[in-house]
Amino acid sequence: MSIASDLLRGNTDTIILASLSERDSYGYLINKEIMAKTEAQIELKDATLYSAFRRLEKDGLVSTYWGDEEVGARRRYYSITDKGREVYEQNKAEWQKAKAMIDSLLV
Amino acid sequence: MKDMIKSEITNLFENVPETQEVKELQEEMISNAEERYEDLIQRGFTEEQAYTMVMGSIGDIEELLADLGAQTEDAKDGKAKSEYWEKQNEYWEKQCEYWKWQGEYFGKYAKDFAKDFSEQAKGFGQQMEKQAEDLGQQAKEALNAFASSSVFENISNSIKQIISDVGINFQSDDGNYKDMQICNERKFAADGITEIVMELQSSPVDVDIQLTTDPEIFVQELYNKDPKEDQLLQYVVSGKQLKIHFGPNLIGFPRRGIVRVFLPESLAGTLEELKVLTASGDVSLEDVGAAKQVIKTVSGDISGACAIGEVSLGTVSGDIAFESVEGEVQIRTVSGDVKVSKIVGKASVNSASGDVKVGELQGDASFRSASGDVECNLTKAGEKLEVSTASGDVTLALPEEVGVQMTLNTASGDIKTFLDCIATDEAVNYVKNGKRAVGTIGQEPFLKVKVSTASGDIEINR
Repeated sequence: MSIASDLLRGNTDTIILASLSERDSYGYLINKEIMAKTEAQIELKDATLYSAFRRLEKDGLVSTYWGDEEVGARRRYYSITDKGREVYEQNKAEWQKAKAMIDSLLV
Repeated sequence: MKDMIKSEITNLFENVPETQEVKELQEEMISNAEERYEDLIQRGFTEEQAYTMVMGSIGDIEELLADLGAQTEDAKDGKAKSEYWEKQNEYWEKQCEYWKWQGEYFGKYAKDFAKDFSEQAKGFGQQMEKQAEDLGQQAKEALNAFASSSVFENISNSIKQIISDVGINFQSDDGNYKDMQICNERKFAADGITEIVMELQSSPVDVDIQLTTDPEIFVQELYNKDPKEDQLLQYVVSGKQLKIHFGPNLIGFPRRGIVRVFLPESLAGTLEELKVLTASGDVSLEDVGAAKQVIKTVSGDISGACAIGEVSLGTVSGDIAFESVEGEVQIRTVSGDVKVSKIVGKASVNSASGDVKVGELQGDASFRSASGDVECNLTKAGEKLEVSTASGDVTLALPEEVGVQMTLNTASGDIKTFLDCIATDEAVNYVKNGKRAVGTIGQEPFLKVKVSTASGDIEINR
């Protein structure tokens, strides 16, 4: 699993962008979707998630706004920017390339 | 518990300048954490479990704090805190897995009970057979895999890596206890202390709590290897609480240790809370009466003389032995045996494969076990006595002169009760047909005795 966790660490930002490219979302929901997609094998720690959000926001890849929940605590939503979409597509293409390369070396 | 999440997360930021940005991050973390908590509660975890799991999922926030302008020292603090919660989380996940399984099992079992017993027994048998076949197949495949590839080498390498990472020395050495020496001693004024909390989940130290005529609280740490300064326990007195926990440095921590706590006799019976959490250490305690006592360990044993108040004991594989418990008792174990000589009050005992034996019970009790046997001698009746097991045998002794209403069910075991011989008596209304026995004897108010088992035998004596 250590290879997987290394790869995961390197791609946290892209994974979050992938989730946001579908629709605006908030921290726990993003994590829940990641868990659902990977059958609970992958779960981001909160610390990882919030560090990534800060980075993405600083780089202008996501923007953020507060929800207006009437019941319970306010949620902070994230929305992918045009620049974010660009970077996401670029990262995705790079991943495909890298994946093919590593496959050709290992498989 | 939900409030505790809020305050615990707020605490993580206590050393960070309180800017708008920090306030917003806090609010965001709290709202997400609370939603996770609600979800876990929905999924059937207890409040305490959900709380620990939520705190465990926060992870290492050192980098985040540093980024927000915290001092390095504070960041270290944050790291130790988050590592602590991760360990807590691991411990609970293990416990939860088991309880979830047991919960599912019993839930299904109860539903099926109304249906035809023989049908159920047949299904059970088939399922077992299928499982055994699957396991056999799996074992075969695993063996082949080991034999034909480098998997074995990889695994052994990664285990070696883990061992060196964690800093555990696995070399067997039974003489460890002989080499123990006192490495640290501390004294605390007992005045005003009503809560004692020991959180020692990360290392194999035993906890021994004794009473002393001395007026002060006295703690001794014994280890089989010299610990570094920052590997000694940390002691925090805040208000009415004395908290004892590990320092941030557990790497290369002494393999075994004993923490001896001497409590002044004046404290016995006046404590509000006594809490001891350990990973693999044994816990033993003298007659320390406390309004609330919580003792949890993974593989250590728990033994005690007399406990009074709200008592909660939990182990995964360790045994639990108590001379007497008075109050509301909750005992949970996976494979440990439970033996209590006397319980007065209300008891709830759950065990997977461990046997449960209560020498003398005065009051209400509920026992659940998968394969462990349950033996209980009721000397003073409460309102009800409920037992359910999968394959464990149930042996109960009831007091004389008490009206009893019993409902006994077994799928494939035998039922034997003291009513078998006196079924003609007028005061007795008793029907037994093979796998089910229902009846009352004596006058109201009845003691309700309910026993359900799949393949265990039931024996009710008087």
